[in-house]
Amino acid sequence: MACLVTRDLVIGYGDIVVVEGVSIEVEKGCLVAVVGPNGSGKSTLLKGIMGLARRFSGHIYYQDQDITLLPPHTITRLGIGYVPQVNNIYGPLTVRENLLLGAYFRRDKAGTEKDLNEIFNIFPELARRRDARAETLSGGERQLLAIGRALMGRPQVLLLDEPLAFLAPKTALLILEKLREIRERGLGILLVEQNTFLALENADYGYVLNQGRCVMEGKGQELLSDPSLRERFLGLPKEVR
Amino acid sequence: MVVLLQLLLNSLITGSIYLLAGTGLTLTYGLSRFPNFAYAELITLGGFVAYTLLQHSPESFWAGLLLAFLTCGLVSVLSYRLVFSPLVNRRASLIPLMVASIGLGYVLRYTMGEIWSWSDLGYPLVWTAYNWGGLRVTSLWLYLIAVALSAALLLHLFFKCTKVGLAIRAIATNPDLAQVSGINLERVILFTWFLGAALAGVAGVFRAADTQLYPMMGWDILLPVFAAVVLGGIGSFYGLIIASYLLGLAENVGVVFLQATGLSTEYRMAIAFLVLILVLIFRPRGLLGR
Ligand SMILES: Nc1ncnc2c1ncn2[C@@H]1O[C@H](COP(=O)(O)OP(=O)(O)OP(=O)(O)O)[C@@H](O)[C@H]1O
Ligand SMILES: [Mg+2]
Repeated sequence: MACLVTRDLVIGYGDIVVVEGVSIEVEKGCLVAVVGPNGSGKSTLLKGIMGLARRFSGHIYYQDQDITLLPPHTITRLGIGYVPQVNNIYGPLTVRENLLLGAYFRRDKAGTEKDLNEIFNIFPELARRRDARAETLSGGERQLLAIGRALMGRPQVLLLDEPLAFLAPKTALLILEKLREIRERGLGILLVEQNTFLALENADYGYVLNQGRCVMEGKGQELLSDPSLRERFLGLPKEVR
Repeated sequence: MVVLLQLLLNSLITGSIYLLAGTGLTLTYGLSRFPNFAYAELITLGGFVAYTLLQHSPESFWAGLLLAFLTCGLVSVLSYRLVFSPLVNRRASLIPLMVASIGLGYVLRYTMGEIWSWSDLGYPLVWTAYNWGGLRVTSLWLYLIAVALSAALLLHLFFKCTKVGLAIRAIATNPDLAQVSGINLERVILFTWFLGAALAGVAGVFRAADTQLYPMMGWDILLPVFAAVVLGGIGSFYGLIIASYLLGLAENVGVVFLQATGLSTEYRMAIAFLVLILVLIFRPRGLLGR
């Protein structure tokens, strides 16, 4: 079942159109990657889905409900977790407060407390620093915190904007592994990545964005072996050795 | 010794007014990112509505405070809904928002002048005066200091221990992230506009009870209140607490100094601003500004 669908979505800022008609689908329990060069509109697509950028036309459906015109906090409350590319933590607030803010709209106190402990179990490096200000964490820990914050809202779909950027390879692999675990729990994940190879290798399905349009889509492995993609976005030889 | 204590007490009184009046400015600046000059008029409005109540029943000073609290909060919420929210939604920048707040201030001030009076009014209240070994104290001053300090303590607990308090801190650091954490920005912002203006109204009642009530009253203390807000670090509540009392102290030390040198105490504000400028030279973002 598709839990997040966009149809001919046109998104931008003010009067500028950046994303020009993109249609994607994220299934339950699937990791879907969106790749593309710098400035191709990947972040704008996610901001548009969340209601943080201007939606000119097209539709967004979440579990068959049209959410195109809803404000960001309502979209979040429905079950879409979002980790922005930049400024994705509350720097001066503690790790614990950051995580609690992810569960801000939830009414079940016991459940929130349970999930908080679970996040600390999944990410022990956060548990150790629970009372530290978030801005004192390392780059990798910040990404974990940002993801943890989004998970605290118990989302059905998770939108991640370059969670692996600037991370040491070891940390990046750790986060990818956590994402696969999260997927096993039935969440749909929409992953935006600069690292095309890493993203498509781990994704069930992928979309390639260029200048605001979707120029290619397909199964992760299929896209990886596509000669033109390999040449244009991966800097690899055309043929798979 | 008594002179010194009197000086400290006077500083506490001045500082408490600045603290009550400045809290709203700091809070709403922290979330809405523009200085709302109409706060001056909300201070005055608090003074006037309590005055009307006291005309009818002179015993109800505390009810007057409550009335000022509610009325000013409500007027502030209305002003946000009718004037500022439409501008913010159209992504108005700092200057239009500031000018709108000055314009709104004029409208409120002239309305109040017409409804109540353009000349000085006084509250029909007499405060118990104490003489503690030479230290002159009135019950009004004690109430003012107690109210300001408890308000500061309650706000501190509110920010640290409640969900809405956490949301306010979240919005102040990262409004976009706050929205995608499920926080209804408009609701929380409206709440802070209510709370801040309500406290400004309380400040107005105390000021009117201590001195006189006139339509320019709020405007006349807005400048030092702004100085306290800037000195503390714009948007920093804890900075404001320190800065309010520091400015109160500077002003009252200034008065003693001016009297000693035979200069007019009219210059007391100049001394407060001297402190402000000196601090800003060394700490451009204020005492606790980020
Ligand atoms: N707030 C904004 N206002 C106006 N234009 C913007 C804004 N944010 C981004 N843009 C423009 O939109 C285009 C796409 O930007 P976007 O951030 O979506 O690209 P991206 O694919 O995420 O790039 P990157 O890989 O560098 O993160 C760029 O040309 C950028 O200049
Ligand atoms: Mg981006």
